[in-house]
Amino acid sequence: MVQALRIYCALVGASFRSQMSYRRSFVLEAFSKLLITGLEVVPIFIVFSHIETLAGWTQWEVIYLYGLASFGMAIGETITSGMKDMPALVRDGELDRVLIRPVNSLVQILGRTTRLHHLGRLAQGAAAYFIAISFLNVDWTAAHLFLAVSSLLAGAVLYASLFIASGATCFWTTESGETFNAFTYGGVDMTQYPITVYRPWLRFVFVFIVPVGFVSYFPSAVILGKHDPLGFPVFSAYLAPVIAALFLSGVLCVWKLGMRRYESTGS
Amino acid sequence: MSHPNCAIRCEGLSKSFRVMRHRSGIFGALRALFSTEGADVEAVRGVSLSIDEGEFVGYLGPNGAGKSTTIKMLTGILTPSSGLVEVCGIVPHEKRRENAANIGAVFGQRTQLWWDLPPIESYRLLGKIYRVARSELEARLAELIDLFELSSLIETPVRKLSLGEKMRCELAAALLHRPRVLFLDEPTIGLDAVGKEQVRTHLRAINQERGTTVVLTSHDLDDIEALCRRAIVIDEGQIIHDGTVDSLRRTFGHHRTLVVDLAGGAAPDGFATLPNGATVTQIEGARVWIEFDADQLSAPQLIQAVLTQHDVHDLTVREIAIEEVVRRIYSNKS
Repeated sequence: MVQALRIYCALVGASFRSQMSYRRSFVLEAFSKLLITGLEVVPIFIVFSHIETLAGWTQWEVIYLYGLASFGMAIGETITSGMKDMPALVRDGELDRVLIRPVNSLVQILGRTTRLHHLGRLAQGAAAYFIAISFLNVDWTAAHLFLAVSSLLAGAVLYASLFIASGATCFWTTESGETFNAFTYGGVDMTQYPITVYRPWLRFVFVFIVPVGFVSYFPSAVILGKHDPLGFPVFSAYLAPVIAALFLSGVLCVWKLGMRRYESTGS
Repeated sequence: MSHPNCAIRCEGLSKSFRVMRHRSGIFGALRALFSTEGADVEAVRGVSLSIDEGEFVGYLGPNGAGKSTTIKMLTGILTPSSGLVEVCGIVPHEKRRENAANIGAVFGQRTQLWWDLPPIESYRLLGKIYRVARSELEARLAELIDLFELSSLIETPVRKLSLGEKMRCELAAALLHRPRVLFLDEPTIGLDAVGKEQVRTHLRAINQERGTTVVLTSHDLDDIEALCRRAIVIDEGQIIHDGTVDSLRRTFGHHRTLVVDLAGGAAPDGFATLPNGATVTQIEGARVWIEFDADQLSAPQLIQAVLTQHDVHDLTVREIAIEEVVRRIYSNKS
């Protein structure tokens, strides 16, 4: 485990140094990512220029939700950056090289090309998250602190899992699972508003199937002292880490299944 | 039980694929997960062979003959359908990571070096991946840099190196963890004559000085002749020749083809009086194919004979192709 982490870090370091040889393009990309994602917040301000609250949530509370999702997604996306190479790895047989090295294949793939421009979204997500907190009057009890940290990390793990799942589809199909973007980037769009504003079926999908709503909405509602009209038990808020862990282990099973398929078909 | 000096052993090794159509999109993926439609292809059919430690073996065959499928089973990438496979006493697909420590691989068309970084950084990373202790790594590096004459290259980003330089760096990378068996796939592809010779010299040194077992797959029969004592030829998934390179060479001779483009238009009947060992095999307009036995007749001699009799626009000498070798092995057998 420690060994795997060391290798992961070494690989990330190598991909950073690789990209630094194209310094200007990195700076431009990171900056444009920051701008583009920065614009995502604008609709929230527009909505709140017309209304006071949305399903009982104020402007900064909604921005907190958005920041939580965006920051978590950015962490997940950065960690699993190499997954975006999966289509090329499978197509060009580069995956074979990964398999003849004495290190876990997932570790090698995740770390191989960590894209620096993700730092743009990372910065934006963190900014939205912390600025929102500074405008809110949160009573930072130990329980609230636990919920804040655990919901952020659970979100990161969930989004990372989704990116891994999307890479794993390459074992069965020629394209990387673009469909998963609906849950990753779409998930951020979804969870920036309190889930109570959505129709029940959509709520169901983002709470129980792809639980990104679960890990952001319930803990945030408790932290911000919101009444939950859905009537979920209070402990739901504390389940975020458990849910993220379950989801991740499910995705890892799918990954292993895909690897086994690759070993028997080589394509 | 495997022989103590046995590096590679296969018995009745077979691999058949159910080739399924790759579908697009996530629903295609889900369907592929459950569907069984597709055709079975037997890529490798009952291959049995045994390679001792320290051997330098050529493994050749036409495209799609089952070469790379065999190599993938030896490296643990693919699980065989049936049969036995052992590399240094380990069943590769069962203990892929343990096997990985024993083997090295160079794929001529791909690189395992980090493209935008200088080789030295790749070596340090590989040292971590293969768990070579730092001081030990530096010692081995010094040795390899010396062996492959890399001192002027290792600080330059790989993308700026020439093909030949890259291949030398690549070989060093594959040897860093002191593999007992080295798999080489087309290591001289794309190199010029000087580059090829350099790489061959290095390969010979690895095999002779360190006793590393080498399995070389190549389309370039010159590579095989220059390096290997033993050649295994595979076609349609089955071994059709396993013996010395000399005996293989007796089968296909040392034939080359000189292709001549005449300057003065269509070739006349009774094209030219050719020296012994050369025969015209084909004439098409101004182009003439002359096959010659390089043991009897050198290319310059033949070219000179042609040039004294005709105005020539262009000349090329072609090596015998592996497909031709395979054809001759079959015709010899029947």
